[in-house]
Amino acid sequence: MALQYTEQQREYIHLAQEFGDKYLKPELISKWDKAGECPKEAFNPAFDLGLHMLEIPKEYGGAGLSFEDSALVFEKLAEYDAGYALTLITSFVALRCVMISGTPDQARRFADILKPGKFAAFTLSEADSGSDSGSLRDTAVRKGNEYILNGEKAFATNGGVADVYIGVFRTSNNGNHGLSAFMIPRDTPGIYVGKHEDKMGLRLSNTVPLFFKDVHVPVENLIGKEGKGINIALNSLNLSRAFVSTLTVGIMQRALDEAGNYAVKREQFGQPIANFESVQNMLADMATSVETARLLVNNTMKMMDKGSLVRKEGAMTKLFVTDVAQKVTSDAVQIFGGYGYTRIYPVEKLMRDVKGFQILEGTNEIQRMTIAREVAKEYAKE
Amino acid sequence: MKIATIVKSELTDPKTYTTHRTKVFYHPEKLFLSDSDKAAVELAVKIAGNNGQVDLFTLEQGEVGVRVLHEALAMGAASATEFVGSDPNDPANAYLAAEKVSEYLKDQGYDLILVGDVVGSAPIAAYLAENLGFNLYENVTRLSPNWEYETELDRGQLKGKVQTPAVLTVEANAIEPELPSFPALEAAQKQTIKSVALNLDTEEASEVVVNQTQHPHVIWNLDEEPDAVEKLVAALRQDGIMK
Amino acid sequence: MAYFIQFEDKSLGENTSLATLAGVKANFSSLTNIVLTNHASDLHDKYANSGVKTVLYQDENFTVRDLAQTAEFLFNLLKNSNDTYIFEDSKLGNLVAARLAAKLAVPFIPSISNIKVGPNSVSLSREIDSTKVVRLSHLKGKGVISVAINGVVEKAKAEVSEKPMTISAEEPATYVEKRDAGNDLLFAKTVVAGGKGLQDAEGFKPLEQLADKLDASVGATKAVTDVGWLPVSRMIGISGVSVKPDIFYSFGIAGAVQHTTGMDQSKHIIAVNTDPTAPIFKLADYGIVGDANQVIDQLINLV
Repeated sequence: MALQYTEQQREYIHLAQEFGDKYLKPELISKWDKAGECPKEAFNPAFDLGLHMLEIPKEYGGAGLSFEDSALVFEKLAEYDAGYALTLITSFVALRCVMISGTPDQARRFADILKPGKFAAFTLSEADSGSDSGSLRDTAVRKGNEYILNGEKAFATNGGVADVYIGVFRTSNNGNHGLSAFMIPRDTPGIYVGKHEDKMGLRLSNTVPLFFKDVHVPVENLIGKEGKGINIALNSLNLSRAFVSTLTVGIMQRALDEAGNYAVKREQFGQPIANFESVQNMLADMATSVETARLLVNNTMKMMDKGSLVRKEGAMTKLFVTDVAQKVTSDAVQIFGGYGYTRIYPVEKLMRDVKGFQILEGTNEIQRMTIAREVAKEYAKE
Repeated sequence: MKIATIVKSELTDPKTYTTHRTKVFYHPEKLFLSDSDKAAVELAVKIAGNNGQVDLFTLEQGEVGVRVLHEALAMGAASATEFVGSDPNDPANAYLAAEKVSEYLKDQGYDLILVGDVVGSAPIAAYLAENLGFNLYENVTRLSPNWEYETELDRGQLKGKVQTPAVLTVEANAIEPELPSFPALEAAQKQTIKSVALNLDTEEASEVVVNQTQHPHVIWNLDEEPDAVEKLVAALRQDGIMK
Repeated sequence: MAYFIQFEDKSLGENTSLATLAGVKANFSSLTNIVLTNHASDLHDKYANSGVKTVLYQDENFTVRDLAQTAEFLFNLLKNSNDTYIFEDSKLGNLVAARLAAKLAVPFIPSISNIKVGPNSVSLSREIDSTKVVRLSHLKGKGVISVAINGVVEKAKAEVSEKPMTISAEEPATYVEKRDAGNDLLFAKTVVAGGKGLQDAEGFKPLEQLADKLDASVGATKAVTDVGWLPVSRMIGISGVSVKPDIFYSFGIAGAVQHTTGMDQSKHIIAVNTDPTAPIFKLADYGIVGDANQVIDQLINLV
């Protein structure tokens, strides 16, 4: 392995593996994948281990791991199921956002909700406004000491399981600068959860539309300042896309493990298919992709631990890692041949799951735009 | 109740040792706390309750020693000590190591010493019990709150009652351990580990070498060789499989 | 000089096999077999044909349930000699061996699968789980070992004597037999297994005869137990029992992974099947391509 782990990291990864072996058994994952949802109780052991607040500092009740160490833990969990891991990550990324952009009081209130074992969700996209956040329509109107929220949010990860949301709403008609972020407890009257989306992959992760009908939120729940919603959303994306990349590495590693184990056992023409050059080439490329992807993610996480915004680096990481992962998982199916195309083996699921990561947390097209913009800035004349 | 638990690693990945011709490569990064030691620590923590104390010890060396102690500390033990200068898998001098360990533990007032029963390790429990004058209960698969134990044999169990002070070897299925939390593991990694040198007075040590007994792979065809069965029996006798 | 120490407690199902004694005998030229028992009179004949000089220590109060007293007796018996004391690598063997070694303050080297007796030391190898390495220890003086070694029992006359021992009838631990203890397949050192290739239920009679000769237990594939040629308790594989004997003979079994997961940890595998491409041959140390029934008949005559 190219990445040199510290002793502490080995122990964290091993604990994640023990957790996966014990609670994320293949037959359960397959059952939940088919059903298209993961029962809420299945997360109780994860709460006990502190996985839902892994990266959150101890004073907020978290485990206090660095981004780098947390990423290694979630990479391992993604080998079992990326949708399950994503559910946990989404929660602490939301909390981290409140910690970055909100007041200490808001962060503490948010953390206190999650701590006993609850989820959070970040909701931005609308049916007609995905990558183009400037076109968001859902509104927040201030009335006295309250904001009144109205509108419909689409594709809210964790929307159906969360107890608290961060929602981005329009407070003025000023494009991206007219957006504001709010902390919204789920039990506020006027919030309705729509039908869980029947997704291609990441089927253990909950994705729903959310309906807000005259939802009253106290002004203390405005995160940051009015009009700063887009910055908070971008902060959230910076974090979540880094973690999405780490989950992708986990999926790739699993694909490589499955394909490698199969290729040395499966015999055709009187020898293991791993002896054939065409299969060797695929395995070599897969293994190389996994290593480079892991190093890239690791470096981004290290930068985040040092407080860097990783606007460009995070985008590059997500773009590269989720793009190469399509080939890695597709080749895993190819190595399995006809069996790989069936649900007897887990590789088809890896291919379905990993497709989602080219799309969510900013499509890879948007990542390219971000990278291009940052690169152009670097070469722009003063 | 004061309890000492002596923990070690367990070989679960065959690639912990790899070979190239006659050379052996050791990969200690693949070794973690054994399942039976997890059961031993869990039992110890349960028995100790709020008023007791569980102290951890290991004969593992270097990174493996530190790792198994971290893992066991995260399960709720109070302190950790590594004995430096022996090999917990070497049966050739385990009795000498056990003698030193007994000397160290002797006057510390332990009521109970728990040791996981790890396949492939060098057994020390009997030596500890003998040196310390403790009762010995081995292969314990169950220990009830009123101290009734079960010892696993091949075809049955011995049942009786534990009289303390005692040394127990614990099987992995004695109790289902709970996984430690990440905050607990993080805290364990920061805990100080005490080092005690054993100063074994011996040059006796076993060695790990490549297994030279290679499995043959000989297939006869009965149609072409009517004496194939005779050849088989001769080969089995030759290899000592049949004597 | 070496002693092989075993127990014959009529109240327990945990006795040492003659095959282990035969295996030890092949390694030590000068060997005495010590048997602690509570029914010596029944055992004279058994050991008179073992080829190993045997001393039966008899007391009707003897029971291995009292491990401490058993070890204490052996300690007093052996403390002044300077030899190798050999036990079987069974749970009971190792329990008593560890206690004896502790009392003698000598090394205890367990689970030995290979012995080389040299002029000044005994070299002992222990396989390290499923790796390609062994741990090699050298025993220079007095020591206790436990062995997983098998030999074929050859009938040879041997001197058997009986001596009394004094055991106090204390209240030892109680013994409870496991529910599946009747299934000797789980503990067998040698297994002979048959598949559909034996053609019919009749084909298993010679297999059982061979099993008798090899001191083996009979196992089968799921296909065989499904049609009722053998009871379900004989089924080896993913839906049956997993076995890990020293020697596994496979007759008329193709070797589907559902079956082989229950036997592929066996130390030596010998396979017979008509199909040369059958996967079982991949696992086999030795194999014969041919009719299993025919090979079984020939083996019965040869062994």
